[in-house]
Amino acid sequence: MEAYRRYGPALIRKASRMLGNPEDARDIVQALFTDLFQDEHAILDLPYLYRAVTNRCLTFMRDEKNRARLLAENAEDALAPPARTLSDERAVSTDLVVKLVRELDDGHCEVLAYRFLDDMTQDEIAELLGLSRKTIGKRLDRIREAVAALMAPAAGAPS
Amino acid sequence: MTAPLRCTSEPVSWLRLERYHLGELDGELRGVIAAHLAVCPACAACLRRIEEDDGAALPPLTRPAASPSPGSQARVVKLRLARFAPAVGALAVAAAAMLGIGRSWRRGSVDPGAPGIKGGDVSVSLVREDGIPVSDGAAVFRDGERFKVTVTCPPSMHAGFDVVVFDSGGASFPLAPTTSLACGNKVGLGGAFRLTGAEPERVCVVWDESGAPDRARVQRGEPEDRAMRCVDLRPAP
Repeated sequence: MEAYRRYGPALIRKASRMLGNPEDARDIVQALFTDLFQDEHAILDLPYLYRAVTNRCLTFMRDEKNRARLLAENAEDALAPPARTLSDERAVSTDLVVKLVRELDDGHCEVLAYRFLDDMTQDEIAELLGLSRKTIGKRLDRIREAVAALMAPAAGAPS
Repeated sequence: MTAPLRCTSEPVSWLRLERYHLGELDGELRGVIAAHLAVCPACAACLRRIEEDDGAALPPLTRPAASPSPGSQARVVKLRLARFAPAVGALAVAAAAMLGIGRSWRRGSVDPGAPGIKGGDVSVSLVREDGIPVSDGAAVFRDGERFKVTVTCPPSMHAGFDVVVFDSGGASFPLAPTTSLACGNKVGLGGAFRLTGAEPERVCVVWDESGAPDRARVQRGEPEDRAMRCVDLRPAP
């Protein structure tokens, strides 16, 4: 399958950023393309596949067993991607995303992944999701609230 | 551990870096990114990571066994929302066309027997008012006929379920969503609904393990991993 050869590596890198390990990432991308074999009408451009992988990773994170393992593996953030942004916005690492998937619905989780793990701008997310920039902004506000709420207890904990 | 490099302005997203690497971006955007990469060590380093990683071996991909011919197996065909990616208006037109008369669309089949729970699978049955399930090969409805929906899903599964009906008028939701279903064999979704009119209908069950499925997203047909099972019904001749 040409699309697998062309886009597979990019999608595995993307899933690795979300999950913090390449093994689960390979499994997810492999399963995606196995399913796509059965759908001759599937759209196989990279933005579409990026969304498909994002949603599969989020589903994977919601599973109780996977969640526990991912939290353990990423507890020290050793595999967190480097934050390139100059802004003062708090970096959201894999372990935080795993925790947030319980606090936020699908639409917010997707925006969370694109903004904080994929470094997309609001405009880019809006274009990818077919939503307005204003909607993305509102979702980011909600995400920041959820991040702040999750981090609040830790801030008061002894170091 | 060395401190991560900081971007000189707004970072180039990973998706754009991947598409830049693949040569998929148009001239103007490609030029903007090239100019940024020339002055931003952080983003240039990310592109190098992509280039260095690109030679990594992909896991083998095996083509799944061919699907059995319609009717040879009692199982609901799994369809993804990606099929409904266009806007609802286009979706409705396409659905009407596909549901028309025996086009190449993969028709949903209905389980006439007792499917049982199989390996994490979810199956759906439409049950007529008289308690008789819609059987494969006789997926028709009479104007105004009432139906209930039963779901067979693994007991370990906890999900919210919803029923959506697609026709040329778009998507509609005839039942209240179930926020958390106690899964098992042929578990009924609450309520019943009528199918009216004289055009084909596609009755689908969607579910979401985080709660009730987001109807707005279902209507928009956003492609994603959300699961869905469908049954196609033709008006009775």
